[in-house]
Amino acid sequence: MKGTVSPPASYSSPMLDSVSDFPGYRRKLAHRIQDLERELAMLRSCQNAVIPAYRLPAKILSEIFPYNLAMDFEHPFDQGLYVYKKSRSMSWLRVASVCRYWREVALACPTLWSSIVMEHPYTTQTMLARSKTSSISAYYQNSSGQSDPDPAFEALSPHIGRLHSLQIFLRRECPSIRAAVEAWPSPTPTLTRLELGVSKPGITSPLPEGILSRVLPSVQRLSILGSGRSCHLGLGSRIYISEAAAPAKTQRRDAPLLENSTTS
Amino acid sequence: MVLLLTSDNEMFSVAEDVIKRSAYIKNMLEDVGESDLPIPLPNVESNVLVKILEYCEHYRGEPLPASDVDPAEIGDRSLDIADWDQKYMAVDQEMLFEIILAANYLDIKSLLDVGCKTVAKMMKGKSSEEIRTLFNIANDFTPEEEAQIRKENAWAECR
Repeated sequence: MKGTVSPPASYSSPMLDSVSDFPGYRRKLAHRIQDLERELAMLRSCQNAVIPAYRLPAKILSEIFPYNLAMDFEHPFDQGLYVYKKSRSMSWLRVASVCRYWREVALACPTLWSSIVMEHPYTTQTMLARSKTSSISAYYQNSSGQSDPDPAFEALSPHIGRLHSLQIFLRRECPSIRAAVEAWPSPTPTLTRLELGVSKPGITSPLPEGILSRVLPSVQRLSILGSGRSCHLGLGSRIYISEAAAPAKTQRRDAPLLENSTTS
Repeated sequence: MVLLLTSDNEMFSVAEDVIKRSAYIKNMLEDVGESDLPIPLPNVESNVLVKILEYCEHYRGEPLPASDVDPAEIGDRSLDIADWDQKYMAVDQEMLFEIILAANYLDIKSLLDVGCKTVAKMMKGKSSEEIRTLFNIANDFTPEEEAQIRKENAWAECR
């Protein structure tokens, strides 16, 4: 009957009758549970220590883990960095959630965290921090639900000095990106690959006028995807995509190191 | 011929051009010169050495990798594995890890790469829990650590 239900006797502490300070008693129990949970975790670590997989030292695990990057990324293009492909599962990071030992190894392996997918501010900041000082590649894609300015993209700005590749794919207008890029220090000598995509015609390029000559002098590979005929990409009148490919000569004047450019 | 003595005291007599795929043995032979004494391999058991020699024998005559290339600079992380290598690596987990350890100890870079790729491919598409099951790893995180990991993974897992 409602109101008369009580826990079975096995759930009651035999000492319960003598307890006068219930909050204190509950705190004590909580501490004890926490201690036991830690002890259990420690025992499981000991159990792990004798399995065959744990014979692999950290040095070899840090060779294995980055191979998983290849599953979500295109072939590395430069200095072992990867360019984002299609799936956004970030499955290569799962190794950091398997056990304490693997996590320790994964956290000490900057390569795993250097290919940054900027969709969630917390993830972006975590990856930027764990990539330490190594070169990074970054992929940004906005969606209708994201705020503008997007904190995920803003988190990238302090790390521009080690950015080697940037992919931006826009599903809607995002003026703050343009402002953020404008505020980047000039020049950005490490940025060698830039890929820009828009999902529909009419979206303004997030890149300010004259960006290639001002802040991106070292870009060697430029891709502009899915722009359609009427999209104004705003890379200056020289790379205004209205017909087929942009004129290669003028692109080179903007970006002297540009070797490869594609449009579609 | 080169004599190799495994950790379980088995002696192997191996052709020099076969075992020279091991940079460790190659350097040792170059440093010490010809000798009748066996090279002790305290970290390799005989059953593992048999497998290692099978690999070296298969690639006998193929050019050795350049020793001055820093693997970190190569940046090739393709998961492609040659057919023969895939069949060679179709062993139980314990042997797979032993091969990787021996390849690392004997400094056989190509074999180490194949071993690492094989393990990486085994994990492909699997969740953390499935990886634990695959390798018989116990979840040794405390609830606090798990909460932190869940927070980190919230974005990736809601995809």
